Amino acid sequence: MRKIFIFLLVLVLLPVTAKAMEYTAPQAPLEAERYMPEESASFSEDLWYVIRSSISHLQPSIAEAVRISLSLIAVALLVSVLETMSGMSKNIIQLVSAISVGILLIQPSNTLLRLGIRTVQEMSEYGKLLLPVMASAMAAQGAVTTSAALYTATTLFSTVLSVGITKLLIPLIYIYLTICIANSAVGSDMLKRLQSTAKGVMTSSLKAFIYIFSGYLTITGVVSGTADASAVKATKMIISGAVPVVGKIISDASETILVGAGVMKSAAGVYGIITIVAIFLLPFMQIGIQYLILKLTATVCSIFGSKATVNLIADFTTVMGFILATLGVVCLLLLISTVCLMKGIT
Amino acid sequence: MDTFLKATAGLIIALVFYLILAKQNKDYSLILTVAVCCLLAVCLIGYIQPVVAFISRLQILGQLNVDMMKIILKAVGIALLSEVVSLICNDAGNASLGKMLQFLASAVILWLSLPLFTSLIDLLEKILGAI
Repeated sequence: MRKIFIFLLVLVLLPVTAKAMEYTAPQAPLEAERYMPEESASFSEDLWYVIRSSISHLQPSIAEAVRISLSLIAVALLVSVLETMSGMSKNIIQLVSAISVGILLIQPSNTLLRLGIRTVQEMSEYGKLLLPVMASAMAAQGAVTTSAALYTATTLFSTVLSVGITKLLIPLIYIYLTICIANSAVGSDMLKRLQSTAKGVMTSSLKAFIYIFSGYLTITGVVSGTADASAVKATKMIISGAVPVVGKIISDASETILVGAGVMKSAAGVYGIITIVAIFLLPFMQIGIQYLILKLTATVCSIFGSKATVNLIADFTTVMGFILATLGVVCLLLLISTVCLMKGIT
Repeated sequence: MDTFLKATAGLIIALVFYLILAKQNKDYSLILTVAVCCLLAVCLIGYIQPVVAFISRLQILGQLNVDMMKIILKAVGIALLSEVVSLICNDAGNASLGKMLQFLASAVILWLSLPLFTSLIDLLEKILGAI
């Protein structure tokens, strides 16, 4: 009787149609697609291709940065003549110098800041498309709790960071730059304190954000990953034990399906990582070039220039560094989340 | 280098003459000071010209606004001149004239720099308006 029942059950299950789930990463944005390889080879080769194509587009940024640097050196050289003076005119010339440096640097800083904001928004938009794909593939692999926790965390932190950058950090950067120019022109202790407070707020908020995000990921990964691993193991044991004769075969087959879902998830994840790097790399390098050349200019000007002028150039360099750090944080957030989702259950 | 050494030697000699003349006739010593300052200014121009030419070259390479460079050059020139003349006035025992000249120089420099202030404010308005 039992054997007849099992035979009938198998007969019913056999004709059930099988549907395959497809987990593909979303298409890269048009801007980033230019720097991506047309045909995918290996991960390292694709990454190297993205790096090479980004570097080949750097030449205009280098030319612009060098042009600004030469202008700053010319202004600093002229003003340096007055270092030996002690009269009222020295303070006025310092004011003129601060205004000139401000005019030379504020427009390029604004352009690079806008570029940074655009890149952050593009990465966030792409993350919103990629992460649901990765999370569903991870859930299909059996890691339901982990995928939900990781997806929620990344979406939350990404949204908070995106809004925080646009509404809080960008206006704070402009306020900081205005205070720097005023401090260089006038040289007041109060302005100096305001300047260091603004700088402290910007850097601390970014640091705090990355610490909280990393901490959350670490805890979530350990707790939910363990829970999912136990759940999958338990399920396989139940299938193996509950279904007689073919239970072990079905249990092994389900493992094959999970491995298949993992492969598709990895493929989508790899493409997603390449796309994120393609969106991030060129703007990062453009801002990085400006940062390095400004730093070099400040070093050269410190040989002959006035302290106030050199400090003002250094302040603008700090802002470039901050934009670089912000871009890096957003990219890191997306990459860590993608890799965690690719890793699956331990 | 030779010119600098000659100028330094000439300056020391002029100082000795100044000290001798100052005891007898302060007016002549002041005239001597003015004359030596003018001679040193002529030497200075000889050294400053290549520096200004180099800065002009940097300005062309950097595509720096010509007006901005002119303003800064004029401001530096006015500051230097006012400083030297102010010190001569102090030597002559008339500090108030020297101070007045410095005030005048500061006002002229500020007046010259008005286009720079306007450009900066326009830039900031444009940027902050876009936010």
